[in-house]
Parts: sequence; C-alpha cells; structure tokens
Amino acid sequence: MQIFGNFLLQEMSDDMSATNTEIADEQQLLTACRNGDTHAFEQLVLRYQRGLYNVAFRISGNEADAAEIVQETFLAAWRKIKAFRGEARLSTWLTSIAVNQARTRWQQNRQKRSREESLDASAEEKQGAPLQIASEQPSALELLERSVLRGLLERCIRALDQGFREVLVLRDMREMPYDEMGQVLGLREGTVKSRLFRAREAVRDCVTKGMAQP
Amino acid sequence: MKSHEELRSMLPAMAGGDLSKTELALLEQHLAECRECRAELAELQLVLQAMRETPELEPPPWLATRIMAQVREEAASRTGWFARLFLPLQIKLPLEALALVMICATVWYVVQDVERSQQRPQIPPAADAPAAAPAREADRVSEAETPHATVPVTPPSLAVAPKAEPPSSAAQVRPEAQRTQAAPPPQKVPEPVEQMERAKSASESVPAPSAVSREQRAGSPLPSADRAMAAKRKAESSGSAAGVTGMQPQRLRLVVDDQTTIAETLEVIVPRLGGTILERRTGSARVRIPEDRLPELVEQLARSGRIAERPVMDTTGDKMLELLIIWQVVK
Repeated sequence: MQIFGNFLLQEMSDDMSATNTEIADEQQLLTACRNGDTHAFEQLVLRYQRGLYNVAFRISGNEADAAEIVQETFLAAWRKIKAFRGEARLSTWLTSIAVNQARTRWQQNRQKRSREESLDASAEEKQGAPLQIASEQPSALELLERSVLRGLLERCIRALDQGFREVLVLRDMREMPYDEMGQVLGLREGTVKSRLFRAREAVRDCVTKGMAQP
Repeated sequence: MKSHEELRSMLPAMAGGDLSKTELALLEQHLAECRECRAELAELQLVLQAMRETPELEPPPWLATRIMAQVREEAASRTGWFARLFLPLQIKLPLEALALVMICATVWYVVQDVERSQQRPQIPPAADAPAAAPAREADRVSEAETPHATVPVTPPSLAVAPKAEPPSSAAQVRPEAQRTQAAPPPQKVPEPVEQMERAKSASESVPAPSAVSREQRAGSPLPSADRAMAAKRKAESSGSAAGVTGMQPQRLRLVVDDQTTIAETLEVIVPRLGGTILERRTGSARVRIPEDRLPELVEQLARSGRIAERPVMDTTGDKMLELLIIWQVVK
C-alpha cells in the first residue's frame, strides 16, 4: 500500500513537472514570438492547429471554412501577439479568436446558406405535441447504429443556431471549462450553462425527429 | 417542491454531470418515479456520449505551411526601417558607403564649379544666349542698313543664322546680306584684337555643321569661327543701337596689363567727360556718359590697353547712354 502511494505521488509529481515545463516552454515561445521569431510561432501553430481546426470544423460545418478560419486565426494571433499579456491561457485566447472568425464567416455566408429548419422553431412546435410515453425497452435511439447516429448528430449540430452550436462544441466536444467558455464567448457563466442545456435538448429532439423521418 | 417540467428542464444538465449534489438528489428522487424523464435522460446521455466520442479530425497537411507562409510574409513587411536600410550589413553597408563617397565628390565638384564661375566677370546673359539669335536676326538686318555703323565687322553671313529661323526672316536677311557685300569693305579689325577674338570665338561659339557647309558653298574667305564671332558681336551691338537703347547697354571690351590702373583711370576719366560710374565690379564697370563724349572716352581708354570690342558710336545725339566696359588682364 505504501509502495502504491509513493508510486501515485511520483506519477502526480511527474505530471505536474511536465505541465510546468510545458508552460515555461510556451512562455519562452511567446516571448520569442513577440520579438518577431517566426520559428517560435511555427511551434505554436503545430501545437494548436489540430484543436482549433476541430472547433472551427464543428462550428462552421465544413472543412474548407475550417481551414480558412484556422489560417485567419493564426494570422490575427501573430498580428496581436504583443498585445497578449498572458492573463488567459493561450489556447483560450486562440479559441476566442477562432470563434470570432467563425462568427464573421457565418454572417458573411448567411445569405448563401440554404435555409435549414431552426431547432428552436422545432422546439417551439413541439411544445404543444403530446409527450412520448417511454417504455423500459431500449429506445430507437439506443438501437441506432453508431455511424448512423454520428451522421445524424452532425446534421443536427449544424442545424443549431450559431450561439447554441458554439457552446455545445466547446463544452461537449472540446470539454472546455465553463470559466474559459465565458472568456471565449464573452458571456457570463450562467448564460453559458443555460444556453448549453437548451442546445443539448435541441439536439436530442432533432435526433429523435430525424430518426422518425424515412 | 419543483414541478415535473422544472425537474425535466434539469435533465440536460444532469446528462452532462453539471448539477450540484442537492439538485442531483432531488432529480434522482423524481427519476425514480418518472419513466418519461428516465427515457429522456437516457437519450440525452446517449447523444452526449456520441458527441464526446466523435473522432477528432486531422487538419490538412498543407495548413501549417500555408499559415507560416502568410506569417513570414507579414513579418517581412513589418520589418523596421533600420533593418530595411542596413541589413544584411555585409552587403548594404559597403554599397551605401560607396554611394556616400560619390555624393560627397559630386557636391565638392559642384561647389568648386560655382566658386569658379563667381570669380569670372559677369557678362549680361542676353549677349551670350544663343536662343536670342532669331530675335537678333531682325536687328542685324536693320543694323546692316544703318549708314553710320562704323563698327569693324566682317560682312554678315548666313552662317550664324539659326536653323529654326522662320522663312520670312530668312527671306529678309538674304537681300540685306547681298546689299552689304556690295557695299565698300569695312574697316579691318586690328591683328592682335582679331587673334584674341578668334581664340574667344573658338571657345564660345561653334557654328552648326550645316551652317558651316552653307558658308563654304558661299565661298566666304574668312574662317567660320571668326565670321560667327563677328556676326554675334554685330548682333549684340545692333541690339543696343536699334531702339533698345537704355534696355541693353553698349559694350566696350579692353585687354589691359593691370586691373587696378584701368579702374583708377575710369574713376578719373568718366566724371571728367560728364558721366557717372553706375556700377563697378571685378573686371567690369557700367557707366553712363553723354553720347557725344563716347569717342573721347574710347580714345582715352585705348591708351590704357588694347580695345577688343568697340561700342557703336553715334555722336549726333546729346542723350546719355549706358556703356558696359569689360576688361581682361593679360599676364
């Protein structure tokens, strides 16, 4: 037992020192970037491009837009790197830039996009509908194949309003803490939570509805 | 006690594990009784699980390269003026030093040239400007007709006529030139003066090749440089005689041995002849003198040196005329 305890402490201390090294390394890279070192910035690009690309893809809904968003994000970060004082985590700062870029792009493409039924509207419609009586048997949703469910889910997330999609992607797909979400989206924690719960419900409704359609 | 709807609205939070312990206990109590909520919670949990298990996408391999290309482009355009001017030092610094030396050398040369030109005696610009030739052409014609023109000039020639001369002016010049050639030969310029004039004309005026060939065809006995100088001088003197008196002073050119002597001589002679010295410079003086006393002045100055250029003398009037006396020291 004593040996296991020591091992656990050793593991924790290793993890912490690794994190500290990473932070110190990131600080060095940031300092170098502020002095115009593009090689240092390249290290940051390689470190964060994957996460940002996924956030951008989930929010924008297509790969071309996601690549553009990530590119614009890093370019904007390079321009403003001297203004970044390190009060937030670098990943949070980069994500907030990416979300803003996605919003701008979304507004620009708004006219071009095909109209998809708003999940909010469907939720309103559903208010008057009789509640489904659930049985103890596994639901249709539970019986659905994973790949089919994933496809349906992506369609439903894409059909969400921009604000709902942002919170859902950041929390349920990127597992971002609420305080960071507040910083990224410029919202209070309470607003983030209420928006997130509504988004979850809307997605569930959409998936259930999608299954009902042939 | 919360209602079914209120408790149901807490299900999305519960599915994500976002409820406090109190809320969780309350909802679990309700779930034990409500089958509908249990089913909805199961669906929510399934959806959330599916979302969390969504595989991450790999960004395209070219993305980082493209980003960095843009960043480097931006960084290059943001480079400061110092770096743009001087970096890399081993290439730009020697080139800039060389350029600086060349600029300094040019400035030094220009300053020296300006100083040299300021030391020379000033000559009225109209006298030397070749662009004034067409205007002077008409004057030359009228001067050739003037009977009392006693200035020692060689016969006028078309050699100095500018190429761009208007046809009407050329038509006027030709008969005049013939008439002058028919007139008795003018007084010849003394030999030493002529030699000096020749040397001067070689440096000041070179007739155009076409003009030279025209001259040669006309069979003129004089060298072209002499004829050009003579015509120029005549044009200048006629310019002052033909109605522009007062605007353009007459000119008298002297070759002297001592510069101070001639200056002192002028100080004495000019007031004695009833004139005034208007302006005195190194190597020249502008005087005003009665027209009828001009020959006397010329005669007295001739004692101080050789006269290289004489003014047009009109002793009939009693007006005051302006005379520019230029002297050159022969060492």
